[in-house]
Amino acid sequence: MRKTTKLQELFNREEIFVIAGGGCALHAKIAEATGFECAYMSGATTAAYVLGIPDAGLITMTEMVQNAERMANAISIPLISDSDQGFGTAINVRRTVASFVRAGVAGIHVEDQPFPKRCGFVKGKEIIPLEEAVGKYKAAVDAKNEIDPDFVIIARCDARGATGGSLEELITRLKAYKAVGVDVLYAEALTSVEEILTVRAEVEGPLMGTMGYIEPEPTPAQLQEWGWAASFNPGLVGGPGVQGSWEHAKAYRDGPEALRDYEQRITNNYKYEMPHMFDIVGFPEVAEWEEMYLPEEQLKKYEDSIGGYDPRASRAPARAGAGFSRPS
Amino acid sequence: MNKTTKLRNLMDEGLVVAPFTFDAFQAKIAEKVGFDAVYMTGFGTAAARGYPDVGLVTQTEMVQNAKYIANAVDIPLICDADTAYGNPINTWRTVREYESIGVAGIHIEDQVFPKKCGFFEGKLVVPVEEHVQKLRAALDARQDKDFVIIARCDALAVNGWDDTIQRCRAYHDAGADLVFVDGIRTDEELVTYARELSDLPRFYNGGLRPTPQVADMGFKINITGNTLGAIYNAVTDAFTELKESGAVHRNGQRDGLTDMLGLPRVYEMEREYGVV
Repeated sequence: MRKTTKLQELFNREEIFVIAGGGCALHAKIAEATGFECAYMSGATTAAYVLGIPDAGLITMTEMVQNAERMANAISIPLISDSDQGFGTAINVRRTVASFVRAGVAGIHVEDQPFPKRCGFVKGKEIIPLEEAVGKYKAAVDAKNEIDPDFVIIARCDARGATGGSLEELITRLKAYKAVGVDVLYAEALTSVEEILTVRAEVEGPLMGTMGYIEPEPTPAQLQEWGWAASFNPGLVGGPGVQGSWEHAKAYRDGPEALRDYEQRITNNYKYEMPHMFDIVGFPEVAEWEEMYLPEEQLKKYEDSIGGYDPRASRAPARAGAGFSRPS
Repeated sequence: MNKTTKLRNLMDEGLVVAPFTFDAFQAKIAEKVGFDAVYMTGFGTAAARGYPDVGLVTQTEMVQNAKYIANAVDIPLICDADTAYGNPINTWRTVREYESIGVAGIHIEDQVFPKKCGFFEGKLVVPVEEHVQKLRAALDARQDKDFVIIARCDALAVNGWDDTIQRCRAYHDAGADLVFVDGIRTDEELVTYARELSDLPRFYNGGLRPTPQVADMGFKINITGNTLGAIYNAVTDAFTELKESGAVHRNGQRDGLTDMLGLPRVYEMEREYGVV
């Protein structure tokens, strides 16, 4: 089944699914390997991981699509991508949608904010006029229908948290976006369970949204009970790794003793069995293909070479700071 | 010598004529013919990707294209940078991107994003203060002080001369190296441009007069897209000829083409480095 068709199914079934966010192909691999049904490319995580820049509208459509293509190609589950506000007007949106479809992405969300995001200069979010936003969603739907009608267009509405915004404005807009044929509605920045229930009661079709303003954050089970289609967690895979990278780098800088402490602390608290990073990205498959396609003579390289990781043994031991660090 | 410094020296000597190019191939031809500089057109870069020049091409695509062109020639490359692809923060990144790949200068226009070609209908301009902020960001962003920042003004077709002149003076006061009134359609407009802004370093896009006359009018840089039409016509003619007669004039002879692309140097290196 095509990934776009699969994603339509996920959004339209009874049972809720989790959208596990990251910012690079390895994050997508981890989402898949740990059993998630849908991966997500976060613009903020992409900007940080790939370019080392803030999520302030600096990243270009080309850079987003390139990264999304790598992530989508790395996995067999559908990938949803952030596509900011579509990178311009309705005309740009058509090209943006076509580019993401061709990259193998299963769906994107397009928000009703102006271009570019004005972080740093203007406090608070802004939204574009309703008519302009409707035109953009219409363009998005037309563009995907020409190439792949199953591609999922998610209309993200920022009207709740924007300057001058309100729950009423959010609901009015969500209805207008649904009317031009978007597949999923994304309510950004809801502030209470009551608001979740109100939105659900007022608008038709699959719903998703970030829940960061609600304390405690609703669980997927709760969201399912409230009629939400997906539990959206943009930082699920990409977020925590930053701390690991930072701690390991700092410990190394502090000297061998600090590094030993760090590694011991990690090892002692190791809770989940984790495959070696090379396993996650498919090194064992390479060894299989070598056996299938290379002359026997060439496979002798394994007998007299040194390496801490042997791709022929499919499960290398996991260790603290697993990945490219020295062999155990 | 840096190409940025080279471009500044050329401007000191007189008018710099930079023909429109949209790929490394055309830039190499321009260099071979003897031009001192080349220009990368956004119109052509969009065309090469199958789009009209209406703001669909991204900063990344423009910079990638510029990188090929800049690497292919020894002469300075001036680039179209449209609206700098967003607000002053995007402008900062745009300048860094272009500068880091060896471009000698860029022009940034006061249109609303996404832009339209300077000669198209339906242009909109941002308030003058907004563009001044962008230019300030551009000037602060450059690491090589010789990198040339050209302030393009699209207000002529929208608001007329008074506003255009005011804007250009504001852009000059903000520190832009040159001003560039785009959309000059008549000789009268060209004369007005030269007269009303005679005291500012000026950039002209067009071919209303032969370049020596443009030099006499005191312009510093003249880019011209008339060659773009010539390329379009030449390609169309050659394809039509092949389609209709089954052959191409001169048998497709291409004097010096592989030399221009550096094939002799490759053979030399093969001998030098023992490549069989």
